[in-house]
Amino acid sequence: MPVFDASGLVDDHWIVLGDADPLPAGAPVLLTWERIARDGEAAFAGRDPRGVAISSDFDVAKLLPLLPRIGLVVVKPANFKDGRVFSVGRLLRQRYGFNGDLRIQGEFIPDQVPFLVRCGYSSFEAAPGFDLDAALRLLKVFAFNYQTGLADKNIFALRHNQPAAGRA
Amino acid sequence: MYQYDAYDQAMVDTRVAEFRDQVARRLSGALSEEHFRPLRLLNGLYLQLHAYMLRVAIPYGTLTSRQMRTLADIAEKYDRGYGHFTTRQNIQYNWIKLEQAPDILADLAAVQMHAIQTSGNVIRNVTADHFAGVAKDEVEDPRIAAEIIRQWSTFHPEFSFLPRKFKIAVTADTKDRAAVKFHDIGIAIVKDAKGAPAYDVYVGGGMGRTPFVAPLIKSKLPKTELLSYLDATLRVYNRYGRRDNIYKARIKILVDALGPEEFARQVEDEWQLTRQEHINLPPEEEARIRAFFAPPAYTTEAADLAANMPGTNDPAFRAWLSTNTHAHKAAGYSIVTISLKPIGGIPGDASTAEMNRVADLADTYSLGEIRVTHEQNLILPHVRRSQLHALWTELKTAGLAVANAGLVTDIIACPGLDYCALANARSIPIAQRISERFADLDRQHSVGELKIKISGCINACGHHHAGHIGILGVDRKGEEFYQILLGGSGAEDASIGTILGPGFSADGVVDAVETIVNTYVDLRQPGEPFLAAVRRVGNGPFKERLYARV
Repeated sequence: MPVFDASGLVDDHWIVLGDADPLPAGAPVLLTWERIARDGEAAFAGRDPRGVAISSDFDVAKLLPLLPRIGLVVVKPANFKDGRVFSVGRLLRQRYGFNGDLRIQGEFIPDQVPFLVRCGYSSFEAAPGFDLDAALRLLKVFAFNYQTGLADKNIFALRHNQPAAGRA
Repeated sequence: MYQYDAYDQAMVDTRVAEFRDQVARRLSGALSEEHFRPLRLLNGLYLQLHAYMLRVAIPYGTLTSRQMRTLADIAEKYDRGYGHFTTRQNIQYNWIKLEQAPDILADLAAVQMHAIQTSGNVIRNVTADHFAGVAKDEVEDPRIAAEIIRQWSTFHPEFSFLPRKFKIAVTADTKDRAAVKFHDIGIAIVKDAKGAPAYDVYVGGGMGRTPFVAPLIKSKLPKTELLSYLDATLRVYNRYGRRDNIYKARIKILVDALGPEEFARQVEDEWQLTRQEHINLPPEEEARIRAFFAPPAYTTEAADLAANMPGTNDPAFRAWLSTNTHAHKAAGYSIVTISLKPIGGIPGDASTAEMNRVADLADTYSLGEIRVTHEQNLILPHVRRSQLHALWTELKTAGLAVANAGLVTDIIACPGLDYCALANARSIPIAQRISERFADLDRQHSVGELKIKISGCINACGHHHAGHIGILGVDRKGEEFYQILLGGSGAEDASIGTILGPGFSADGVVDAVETIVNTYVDLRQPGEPFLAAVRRVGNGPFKERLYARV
């Protein structure tokens, strides 16, 4: 399925491996958390970074010791109403300082993409029929936001540091 | 009162544009109903039995006269000349066309209002004591915290797809008029050991099919830490609340399953981290918001401060004074309740003409300010005592001077089967029949304070669990039946009513309520209110009288 980021479609170079597939040499591979947990150091085979796929109910604290060696985290929601993906994103980015690619894969809707970006997601792998144009358009709708502690333009800070931007 | 700046205005204006885009995509078929549903709910738009219903937020129940006139205009332009004030400081319009909804949102945005997050599995419109800022004994104006919460919760990226809806209420008085212990989070502003305001945080209250009185989860949270604590609480809920069963998905179920101590521990652990993550409001921003809630300039004229007031020789005026006015913190002023419960009327309904009239009266008598109560009445918060009689006279002419606030005909009722797709039974006609049965005002006043609350199904939008007398409509083999509960309270002494016995038919329930009231009158001690009597004697004497005659 196509992968996009905030600028549009991107080439995805990650190779998805099943839990029994042999590790190819030198290629960026995406493994399940179960495989990494099972194989330990062998899952890395001396080659960083790896990608890891987790479900939305995964305890992300378990990734903490591995994060410097992980280049991609793929989060899979149970369905499009599964709001746990947003907490996973904020924890990985803000609390654990993950700075690789954070991707949602599966069922989500264009109108959630701005929220996903604000929670730290950097790439998106959507189901067929996904309205990519709408998602990219919606990303440009809100110029600033109320919530503190996020990596976007915060109204509480803007009010006291800069003049207001005026009516949208 | 809070005034939007350019940022607040841009947020609501942008929301209108965004929703217009969503409606256009839905009407063109680009957006499926399944995917559109949570989006329209985020804008307060429900699909009801007969039409779309739009729920408009009245944050913490505070309105200007200008905003009230817009609500009246919307009723006229897009609905059938009515609006319905709800139990959560919202107003609902029941006959909305989907394609007009964006225009309504634009009309609202023009007067700094919105329908953002009035439904859906999000943090809903934040509510507060309707006497905020004027209650004699409050620690501080709870609307300051409520406005901070309104902004923080608006389009919160992490908490817009929660397991279930999430309601927050704030009070700052020992007398709780906001039912905080029946909310997902209830905040009571108290004084800490040094006398400074702090927050007691109750989590996991609620009504619905599994009612809970919220336990105290955090005592005396420092005010500066509000947002990091809310973030921590919501995050624990968002991650661990149940998503497999919508009837088990509210935070109250999580708090109950973990136990309040373990839930509090998990939130505490999370909070120790969130409080270091720059989530708390900058102090200069708290100061900016606080300044909007500074008290208005009150009169100091001698006539207002004098003890005697014109008109008190009129017994009808005196009756109204006793139920529909309350002590104000400024000398010479009263808080006035405008009852939206005329005898035989629909609780909480107001016509375009009535809304416009209230707006005019607010301009003349109440510094242009109006409040909406969770008991579905309106408040004029700043009325000079010297003008009470003149106001009452004008209210009487408008049919808005019913002296029944807090009495047996001041009934809360959900929309019920007349409008709601979830209901099992009608609520409004039951409220109307009970109201007619107790139409005699002298009788109501002699019965005293008595809160009847009616829900048309177990979702409990009519707060039947918290009624002194609660009525729950159920469907029994295709017929409407009504169970009666006794002894609930939504106030500081929050409690959940208990079911009396077998249910009654629509006609029978009105007789049953009268029997209960008569039983109370017979057994009460001098000066003993209904709820106190029920708590003293239990359900037994009421059961005996009710079911003996069957």
